[in-house]
Amino acid sequence: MNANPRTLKSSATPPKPAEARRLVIGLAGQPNVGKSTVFSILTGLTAEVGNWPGRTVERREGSARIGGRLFHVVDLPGTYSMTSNSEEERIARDFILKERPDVIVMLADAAALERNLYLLAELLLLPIPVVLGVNMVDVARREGVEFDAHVLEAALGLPVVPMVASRNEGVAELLAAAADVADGNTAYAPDRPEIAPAHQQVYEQLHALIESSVPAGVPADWAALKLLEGDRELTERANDWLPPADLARAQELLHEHEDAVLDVAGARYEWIGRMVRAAVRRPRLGQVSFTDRFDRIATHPGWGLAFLLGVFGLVFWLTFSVAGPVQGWLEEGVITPLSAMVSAALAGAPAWLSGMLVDGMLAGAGVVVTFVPILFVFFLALGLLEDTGYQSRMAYVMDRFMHRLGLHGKSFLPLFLGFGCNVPAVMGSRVIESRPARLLTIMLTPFVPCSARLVVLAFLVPLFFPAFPALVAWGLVVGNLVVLVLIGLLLDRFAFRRERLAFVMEMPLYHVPNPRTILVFALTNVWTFLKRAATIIVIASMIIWVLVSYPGEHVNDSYLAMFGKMLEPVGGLMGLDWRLVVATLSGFVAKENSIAALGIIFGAEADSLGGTLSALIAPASALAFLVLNMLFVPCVATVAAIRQETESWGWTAVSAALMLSSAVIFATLVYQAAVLLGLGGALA
Amino acid sequence: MLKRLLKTIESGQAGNTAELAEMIGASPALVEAMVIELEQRGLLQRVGECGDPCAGCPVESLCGIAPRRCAWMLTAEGRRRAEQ
Repeated sequence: MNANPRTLKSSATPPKPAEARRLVIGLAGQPNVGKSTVFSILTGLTAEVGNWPGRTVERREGSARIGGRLFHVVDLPGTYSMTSNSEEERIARDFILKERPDVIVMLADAAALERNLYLLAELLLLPIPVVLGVNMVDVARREGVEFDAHVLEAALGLPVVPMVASRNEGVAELLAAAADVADGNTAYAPDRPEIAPAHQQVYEQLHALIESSVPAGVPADWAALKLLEGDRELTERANDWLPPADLARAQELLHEHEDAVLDVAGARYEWIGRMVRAAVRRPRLGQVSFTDRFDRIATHPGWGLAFLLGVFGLVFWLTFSVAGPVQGWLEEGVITPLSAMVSAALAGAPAWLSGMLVDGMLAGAGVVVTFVPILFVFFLALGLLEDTGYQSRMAYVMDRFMHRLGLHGKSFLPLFLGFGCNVPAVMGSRVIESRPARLLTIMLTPFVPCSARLVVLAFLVPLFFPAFPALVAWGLVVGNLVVLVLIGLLLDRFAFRRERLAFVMEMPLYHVPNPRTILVFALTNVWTFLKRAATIIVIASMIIWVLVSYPGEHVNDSYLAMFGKMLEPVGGLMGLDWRLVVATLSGFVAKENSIAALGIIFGAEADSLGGTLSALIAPASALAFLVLNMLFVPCVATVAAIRQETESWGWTAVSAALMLSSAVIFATLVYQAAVLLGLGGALA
Repeated sequence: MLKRLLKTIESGQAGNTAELAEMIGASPALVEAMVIELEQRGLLQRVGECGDPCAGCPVESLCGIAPRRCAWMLTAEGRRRAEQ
C-alpha cells in the first residue's frame, strides 16, 4: 500500500491483453463520508439514478472502465449499521444478500473511525469481501488525529486505503485493492467481532434451530446473530420460514437471553477499540491538552465549586467596578436634568400628565434604562464564559457537588438547562419518563438563578449597597445555590426519595473567545432589554404611578399603599414595609419592574434612587428584600411552562407556593440574623 | 462493553464522556460512539444542543453565541437494561 495516494486517471494505464471479468462493487458507508464524491469520480457520466425496487430511496449505479477492467458500481444508501432500523439499512443488506456484489468498498471518516467501524463490524458478518477506504485523512490530520493505515490493515486483516476523495487521491488504489480482493490476489482473512462467552451457547442453540430452515442466500450464522441482537425485520419474518415448534423454542431462548442484545453490539465496540488502539493516535495537544488539565480543577467536585464561586465573584466585581460609575452618571447627569426639563416644558399641562411622564415614566422606566451599562458589562462577562466553553461546566460542577450530598443526578437537568433561562429547563423535563422524577425537576428548576434574575440582582444590589455591591451580589448568588441544595435535599428526603436520574454530558473543548461574538451577544441582549423597557416596563411604570398617586394626596394614602399595607404583617417578619412588599410583587410580570416600582415610590424623595434607598432602608431590610426578590415566584413565562408541562394547576400552585414560602422563610431568616448582627434598625 | 458503559452511567459515578472513558478503560472517542449507539437504541435521550450548530455557517460571527450544551439522560428502558 502506498502512503501517498495517487490520482485516478482512467486512460493512464494500458488495457490488459485479456479482459478480466466485470466486477460489481457495492459502495457502502455512513452518511457524509464522501461516498457520493467517490461514486462520481468512478462513474462520471455513466451514472444512472432510479429508485430501489418498491422503495422511495434513490438508487445510483454506474460503470467505470479503468485500466481496461470494467466495474459496475452500486452506491448503497448511507447507513450507520446493517440492522433493520431504517429503510436504508434494509435496502443495503438486502442488496448484499440478494444481489451478491463481488466486493464491498466501505468508506469511513478518518476523524471518526470509532463511530464508522461499527458498520464494518456488521459488513464482515456478510459473505462478501470488504475493502476499507479511510477518507478525509487531511481533515483528520488537521484535527490532530494521526492514523496509520498499515497498522489498521494488519489488525483488520483486510485492505485499508487512505484517501482524500475530494482531491481524487487514493481512489485508484481503492479500486485496485477491491479488484485484487475480488480476484483472490490478496489475502483476505478479516478479524471479526466475537460473541461474548456468556452467549456463545445460546447462539449455537439458535444456529442449530434455524440452520435447516433459513431462506436461501441468508447465511445461518448471520441470521442467528441478528435474531440474538433483536433485529426487528428478521424476527418478524422468522414466522414465515421457521416451523412453529422451532419458532416457539427460538422465541423462548431469545426471551431468556434478552440481555444478549446489548452484549452483541457491545462486543463489536470492544472489537473496534482493539482495532483502532494501535492504529489511531489522538495526541493530546493544544486545546485538548489544555481542556484536560484545566478540567481537572474546573470540574472537580470541590475545587470546581470554589472556582465557580470565584467566577461569579469576578463577574460581579467587573460589572460593578466598570459600569457602576457610568450608571450613577446616567441617573444624575441625564435622567434628573431630563426630568427637570420635561417638568418645565409641561408647566402648563395638567398635573396628571406631568406626573405620569416625570414621576411615572422617567422615574420608573427611565431609571431602569440607566442600568444599561451594568447590563452591557454583565452580558459581556456572561458571553465570555459561554464562548470559552466554561458556562456548560457550571451545571456539571454543581451537580457533582450535589451528587456527593446524595442528590444523584436529580439536580442536573434544572442546572444544565436552567442557568440561562428557567423556561427551557422546565420544558426539557419532558425527556424524563417517570412523572415523580419529572415533577422533582420542575419543582427545583425555579430555584436555579437564571440570567434574568442575575441581571435584576446586578440592578438592585448597588441601589441598596453602593459601597460593596459585588460582595453582596456574590453572597446572594451563593445563598441562592445553598437554598437550591437545601430544597433539593428536602424534596429528596420527603417527596421523591426513590427517584434516581442518571446522565452523560459532553464537555466541549475550551477555546479562545471571539471578541466580536461576545460583543454581538451583549448587544443583542441589551437591545432585547431596551425593547422590553420601552413596552412592558413603561406601561407598568405608568400603572404603578397611577396606583401610588390616587386617590389621596400622599403616597401613603394611595391604592397601592392600601394594598401593600394589607400584606405588611408578612412583610414585617422580613423587615419590609408596604413599599418594598409591592415593589417585590410588581416583579411578577417582569423582574425589572421591581426597580421601576422603587423608582416611582421612592423617587420623589431624593435626586438619586440609590442615595434615597441606602439612606432610608436599613441593611437588614435591604438584604431581606434582595433575598425575597432572588427567590420569589418565577416570572410569568416559567409559571406558564410549569402549567404546560405538569398539565396541572395543582402542581403549578405547589411550585409557586414552594417558591413563595422559601422566599419568605429565607428572607425572614436573613433579616433576623442581620438584626442580631447589628445591621437592623427601624425603617425610615 | 455497552452494558458496562450503561451500568457506569446508571451508577452516577461518572457524568461526562472523559470520566466514563477512564472508568471503563476505553478511549473518549469510543465512549462517544457508544453513547450515540445507546441513544439510537432508546436507552439514552438527548437534551440540549449537541455538536456545533453554527459550524460552517458564513454568518456565524454575526449572530451571537450558540450554546454548546450537550447531554443525555438515562431513559427508563436504559435503567431497566442496566439493572438486568
